[in-house]
Order: sequence, then structure tokens, then C-alpha cells
Amino acid sequence: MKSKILVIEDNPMVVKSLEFKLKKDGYEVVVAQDGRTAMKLLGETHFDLILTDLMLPFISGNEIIEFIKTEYPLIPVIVLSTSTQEDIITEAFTLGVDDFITKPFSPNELSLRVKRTLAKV
Amino acid sequence: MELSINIQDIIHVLSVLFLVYGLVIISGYIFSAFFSIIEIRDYKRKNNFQDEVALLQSANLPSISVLAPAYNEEANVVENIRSLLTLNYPSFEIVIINDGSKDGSLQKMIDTFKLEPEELVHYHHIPTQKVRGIYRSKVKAYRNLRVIDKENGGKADALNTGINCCNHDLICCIDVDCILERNALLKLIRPFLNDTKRVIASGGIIRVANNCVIEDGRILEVRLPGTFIARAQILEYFRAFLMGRMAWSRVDGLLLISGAFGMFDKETVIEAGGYDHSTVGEDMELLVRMRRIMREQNIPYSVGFVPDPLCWTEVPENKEILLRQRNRWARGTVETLMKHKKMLFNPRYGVLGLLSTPYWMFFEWLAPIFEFIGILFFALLLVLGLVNLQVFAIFFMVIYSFSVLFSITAIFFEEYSFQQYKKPKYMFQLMRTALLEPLLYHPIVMWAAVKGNIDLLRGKKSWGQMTRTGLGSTTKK
Amino acid sequence: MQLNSLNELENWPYILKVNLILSIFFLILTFLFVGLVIALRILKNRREAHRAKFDAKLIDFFNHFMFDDDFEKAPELGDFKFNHLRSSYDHKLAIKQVLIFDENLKGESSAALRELFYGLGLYTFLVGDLKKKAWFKKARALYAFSRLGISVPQELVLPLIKSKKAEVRQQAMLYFLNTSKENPLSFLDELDVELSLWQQVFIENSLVNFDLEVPDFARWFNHDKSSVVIFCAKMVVSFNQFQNIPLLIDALDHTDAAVREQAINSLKIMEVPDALQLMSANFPYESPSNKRAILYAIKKIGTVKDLRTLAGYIHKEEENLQIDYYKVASGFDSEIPVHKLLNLDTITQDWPDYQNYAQRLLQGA
Repeated sequence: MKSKILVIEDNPMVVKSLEFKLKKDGYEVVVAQDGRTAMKLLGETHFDLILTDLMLPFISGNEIIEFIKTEYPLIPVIVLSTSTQEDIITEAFTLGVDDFITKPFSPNELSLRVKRTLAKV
Repeated sequence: MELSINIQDIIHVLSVLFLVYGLVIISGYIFSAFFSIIEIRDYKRKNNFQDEVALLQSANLPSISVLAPAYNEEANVVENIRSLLTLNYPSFEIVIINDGSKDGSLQKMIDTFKLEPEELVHYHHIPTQKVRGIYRSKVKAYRNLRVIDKENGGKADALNTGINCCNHDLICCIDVDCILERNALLKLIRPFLNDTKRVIASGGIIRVANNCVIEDGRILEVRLPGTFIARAQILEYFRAFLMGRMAWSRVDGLLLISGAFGMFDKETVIEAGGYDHSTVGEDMELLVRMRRIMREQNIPYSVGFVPDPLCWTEVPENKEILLRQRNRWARGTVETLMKHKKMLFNPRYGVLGLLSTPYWMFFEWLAPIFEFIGILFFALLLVLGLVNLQVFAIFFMVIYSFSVLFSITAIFFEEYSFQQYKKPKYMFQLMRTALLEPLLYHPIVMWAAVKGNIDLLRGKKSWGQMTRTGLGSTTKK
Repeated sequence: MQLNSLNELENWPYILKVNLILSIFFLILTFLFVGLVIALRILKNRREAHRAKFDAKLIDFFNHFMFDDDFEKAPELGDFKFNHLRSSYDHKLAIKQVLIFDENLKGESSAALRELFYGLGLYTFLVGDLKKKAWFKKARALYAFSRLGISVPQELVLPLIKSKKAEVRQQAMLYFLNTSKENPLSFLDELDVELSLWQQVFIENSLVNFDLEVPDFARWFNHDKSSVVIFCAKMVVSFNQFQNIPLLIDALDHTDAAVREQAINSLKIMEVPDALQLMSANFPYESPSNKRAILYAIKKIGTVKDLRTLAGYIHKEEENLQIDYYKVASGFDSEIPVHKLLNLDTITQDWPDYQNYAQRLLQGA
């Protein structure tokens, strides 16, 4: 069965490219443009992996990560963010994310990391 | 017979005066339209190809303290803070100043954000009412939030307390119920970053949020308000911000940064002594004082202005509340002008002395009064049966057509610059409002301004009494 | 009397006439603006609709071009260029999309993006803009080239670094920064105006993100412009140039207080306790904000002892500094009882504010 990935990201270009790339890799991709939609989707279906930005409308990325890690501790989370600041990255890992990818990102590298994270579970 | 001829003479003189005054207004209009369009064009050209992402990544951006006073805001304060916390900026803190609210605001904030009291240590840059407690959240997601609980002292006093208790060198003063765009801080800080001179403040445009679709503190869809009174205010805001302040910014004569959304250099604010709580126009007064001090000390400085729609606010749709608001604005204007009357026509203050302050005196302060006197005079003539219908019709037409032209130009500026009201229906509604506004709305605000002046004159007599009743009573939203 | 009213009659029409003419003039202008508003609206709507459609097309095309291995690159490029990329507005949209992709993607996709950039003729389009007169076209072209790190013939850009328009100058500066192979910051040598904060941030960003060779910032520590020195003091931290610590220590004696402040903060972040001696020696003569900075440097890299030596130099009227002293003192996790640490009975007895706070602390309030 195809693994299902939830992408939480509000930049249309990044969304389209991730969708394109990940679908090519054989995953099923669902996109949420903001945190609220993401939370709703999480309640409706099961996901195998979550790929999220940190700067989002309505609810900040950190809040979403906290939410996921308490409600769905088994779903791995990969952060995709423009932040290169150490404290932000450390904080994300403290919250329990499984990987942190900084923008600009390499789509090939991202696809490898997604594969590796899914293999770990 | 004798009497009527004398009145004819008076009418003649008044007509000429009217013409001269009219010409001054028309030149003011051409001046602001011209400079504002240049300013908007340049701003668009400078900013339409670059974005702020580079800025977001830098750890060397100045940190900002966002100061938001709250008085009896229990209903919305939590939601408002939530949306403030999601602003796009690498390093900022939100400081909510609970100005002795009588409702459960504080407890609600403590419960929602799991606030815990911190040590009561803070600076005394500006004297304020007593601080009762400083709270901070232990939850990481809310680590940027700080809540100051203080005794009631009014908006100016609350902001001063925020200045004393905040950590960063740049402060952004906002109304807690404003809706800010996510990039608001990034945009508003640009003037501070671009100028190598000392930038003392930067202000933004206020937009009308009534009837817009808002979810979780974000504007999802811009809609035109359903009531005429709110639509008329949209036109007013177009005229004031897109035409007025843009033009003033171009000639470096900006006197007012709205209290609902402005960024300031903390050190300069402290040097100037902070917000003045003896005036109801504390936002205008502060900027005038800051500029005055810079000028008097011969420090080169600048004031920035950002025309992007960044801050949305609810305007009164109730006539009584509108009257009170405009009454207060009128008093604030007069108080500020009186306090700084030394600047009026004083070449030492450059554009501020020769252009800005006289403009505020004639157009913002005296215009409604002249107008009111004019109407009284007209009523007198009417009673005496001296009104020539043809003359009246022509005078009325010139005033009316000018008012409509002014508003239509402002609508054009909105279309040219940011075009927030996307539906064609809205555009026509706004044009219709422009036709009705001079007849139905303008008299209300004119009367409020006149009443403000009257109240101020009356208030002055009982000044001593007022100070004894304490500052608490001056708190207004 | 008769004469008078005759005069009146003669005068009346003149005022009325002027008013009438003005009214008509206003009305015509009003109609003109109404027309303009409608025309503008139609124009903008058309553009917007076109933009939305075209952006989607661009994104789709770019994705196929970069990630689809079965995509016939050369013929598809030619096809897209001739069938879709028509107006100069289309070109601008395509450039914008290239920049957005470039901002978010790196690795093999950036090479593919450059291939797209040349293949779609965007290079030629921008070089054309660079030769045009309008300053904003020049600035825009420079911006795109510098963002993508694409070089154009020198003679096109060199004159622009001295352009009268600040915006063009700034973009030219960034262009050289992002495209020069060696010593990307050499333009600082000649700089005779202050660096704005925005320029500093942008330069730093370019150094971090474009794999440029990071220069040794020692070179500009004696620059005439304070902002350049401040920038260098920041960059020494950002790029961990420990070899330049002695220069930072020298900067503690710089004539400009703002430079000294940055030096203090940089030394604090780099944790150089050796610098504390000079900071403490300078303390009594420093500006208020630098005194504050020194106290916080001690908080991070100093000891209680360092702090206490300064207590005597804080005056009764320096209330805010006393509060800082208090904050720093209470931050030390020390074995010494708090009141001893705070020196309550001796040096600080003159500080009214400080006494208040210290008392409250002692009472556990």
C-alpha cells in the first residue's frame, strides 16, 4: 500500500513541487495550507508521515508539532523550514521532530530523507 | 434697506474669502494627490521585485517588542494574542499590558497560556502607575509572550509601562484588537533598516475590517461593510492615508502615526518622555514631540511610512460611538497643537513648522469650525429671507462637486495602489457612498469636531477638578 | 446707494462665474477619474486572471522540466518559449517564478533552473532591461542576476555602482557580492557611505547561502565608516573568526560608542573572558547603554567578583543601571548569600531603587 504523507505548507510553489516529487516517488500526498486544516485532516485519516513548515497561518508550526506529538506520537514529523537559526532547530528537535530540512532544499535529498524516516518506523 | 445692503457687503466679502479658502484647499488637494501618487509609484517600484525572505533568516535583525494595551478585553484577548504570536519575524516579544481591567482578562490569559509570575524587576524610564505583576509562560510555544498587570492609568500610561517592561530597542505599539498581516513587522521595520540616519518611527496604513471575513485573527476575504456609516469611513481612511499621509511622508512632514499601529525607536521615545497621558491624542502628540526634540537638538533623523495594507481595525458603525471618537480626535488635535504652538509658522522646524502644523491648524482644527459658522450664517440669511436660490445652488454645487471629486480620486488611488475591494460591486458601492457622503456623513463628523472644541473649552475651566478625580477616569477605548 | 447696488450686480456674476466654472471643472475631473477607476479595474482583472493561469502553467512546466526524467527538455523548452512566453509581462512572471524556485530549492535543481533561465530567453530579456533608462528596470534586472548568481558583461554593471539612484547602487553592490568569484566584499574598500542595516543583513545572507568565500573581516576593522566596522564585528561572530578576537578587543577603545557596543556584544557571544578586564576598566567612562552591555557581558562570561568591582561606579541617579546590576546579580547561581552578593550594606546603600528590589527579594516576595 502507498504511504500517505501530509504536507503542511503555505507556499504554493513548494507545495506543487513537493506534490510532484513525492507522487513520482510513489506516495500519496495530501496538502494542508495551514495548521487548522492540518489538524482537521489528522482527525479524519491516518498518515504515515508529516512534512511541515514552521511559519504557518493561524497556528504556529511549533504548536502543530506539539499537537501531533501528543495526539499522534507514532507519526514521524519532518520539518521543512527557512530557519537556519540554531535555537529554532534545537527547539524543534526538543519537541520531538524526526528530521529537520532547511530551505532552500534539494528535492532529491528530501525524497531520500522521507524514505529513510519511513523505513525507521 | 440699509440693513440688507450691509449684509450684501458682508456676503460679498465672505464670498471672496470663500473663494480664497477654496483655492487654498484645492491647491492642498493637488499637492497631496501629486506627491502621494509619486510616493506610491516609487514604493511599488522599489518593492515589487524583492521580498523579505532574506530578512527572515538573519539573526542580526533588530528584535522588536510588540506592545498592546488591553482594557476589559476578556471576550477577544486570547484569540488576539494567538494571532499575534504567529507573526512572521525572527525575533520579537508580545507584551500585553493589562491596564487594570475590571473583567476576567488577566485570569483568562493566565489560564490559557499557562502564565507564571516573574520577578517584578523593571526599568523606570518613564513614571507610570504601579505594576502589580509580570507574567510569562513556561510553555515553549508561548515563550514570546509576556503579560504585565498594572493599575489602571489609561492607554498612554499602559504603553509607557510596556516601554519600561519590554526588552528590545524597537517597540511596535498596537491596539490589541487590530488584525495584523503576517508580514506586518517585516514590512514596518523596513524604513529602520534602509536608512543610515536615525529612524525614530515608522507608521502604516489602517484599514477597515468591518464585515471582512476573519478567521483566527486573519483577514480571509476583504468585504465592503454593509452600513453606510462604515463605508463612509472607508472613504475617509483612503483620503487620510493613501492621499494625505503618503504625501506628507514624501515631503517629510508626517505628524501622525496612528496609535493602532506604529513602530518607534525606544531610546528616542524615552528621551522624549514617553506618551503624554494628559492628552487624549497621545499618538499624535508623541510623534510631534519626538520630531520637535530631534529638530531642536539638530540630530538628522527620519520617519518612515509603509503604504501596504498591514493593519485592519473595526470602525464604529454606531453613530454615538463615532461621535465620541471624533470628538476625542478633535480634542487630541487641538491639545497637541496648543502644546506645540511654538512650532507653528516657525522656520526653525522646517517643513513641520511651515507646512505640517499650519495644515493641521487650518484643515484639521479650524475647517470644521469655519464650516459650522458658515452654516449658522446661512441659516441666519435663510431666516431673514436673504437667500438667493441661484447663488445658493451654485455655491452648493462647487462644494459638493469638490467633495465628490476628492473621494473619487481617493478611490482611484486605492485602485492604483492595492485594490483591496476586489468585487466590481464594491467599487460601485464606494462611488455611490462618495456621492452621499458629503450630505449624510460629513455633517456628523463636522459636528463631532465642533463639539470636541466646545468640550475642550468647557473642560479647561474645570481643569483643577479633573486632575483630582484621578487618571483612571480618562481611560477610553 | 444706486451706484452701490449696481456695483454689487456687476460683482455678483464674477464670483458666481468663477464658482460655476470650478464646479464644471470638478465634475469633468470626477467623470475622468470614474473612467480611470473602471479602466484600471478591467486592466488589473485581466492581468490577474492571466497571471494566475500563467503561474500555474509555469510551475507545472518547471516541475516537469526538473523532476520528470521522461521529459523531452529541448523541444519542450522551445515550444513553451514560442507558444506561451509572449509579452514582457509574461517574461517578468517567468523570472519571478524562477526566483521563487531558486529560493526554495538547491542541489541539482538549481542547475536545472539555470538551464531553464537561459533556455526561455530570460537572460536576454534582463540584459535588455539593464540597458534601459528606467532606474527600476535596471534595479530589477540586477536583483534577478544577483539572486541567481549569474554574471553579465562587466561594462554593463560597472557604471551602475555609481548610479545616482540609491536603489540601483544597492542592487549593483549586491550583484558584485553574489557574482564575484574571489573576494566578494572588495567593494567595501571603496565604500564612502554608511552601510544600512538592510545591506548588512543582505550581505550576510549572501555569504551564508551562496557558498561564497568568506573573507577575513580583519581587513575592514579600520574602515572610516563605523557601520562597516560594526558589520565586521558582527560577522566575526557569525563566521567564528577567532583569529580576529584581538581586533574586537581593540575595538573596545573605538571612538564611536556604537562600535564599542557591538564589540562588547560580539566578545560576549564569543565568550572571551580576557576582554572583561578592559571592559571593566572602561566602564566608568562608557555611555549608559554600553555600561548596560558590559553588565550583561559579565552575566554571560564573568563572575560575581567581576560584577562587584563595578558596583562602586554605578551612581545613585543611574536607576536603570542599578536594575540591570540587580538582574545580573540575581542571575548568578552562587553559594554566597544573596544580601552579601548584593553588597546591601556598603556600596549600594545609596541606590534607592535597588534597595527596594533587594529588600523584596530578601523577603521572598
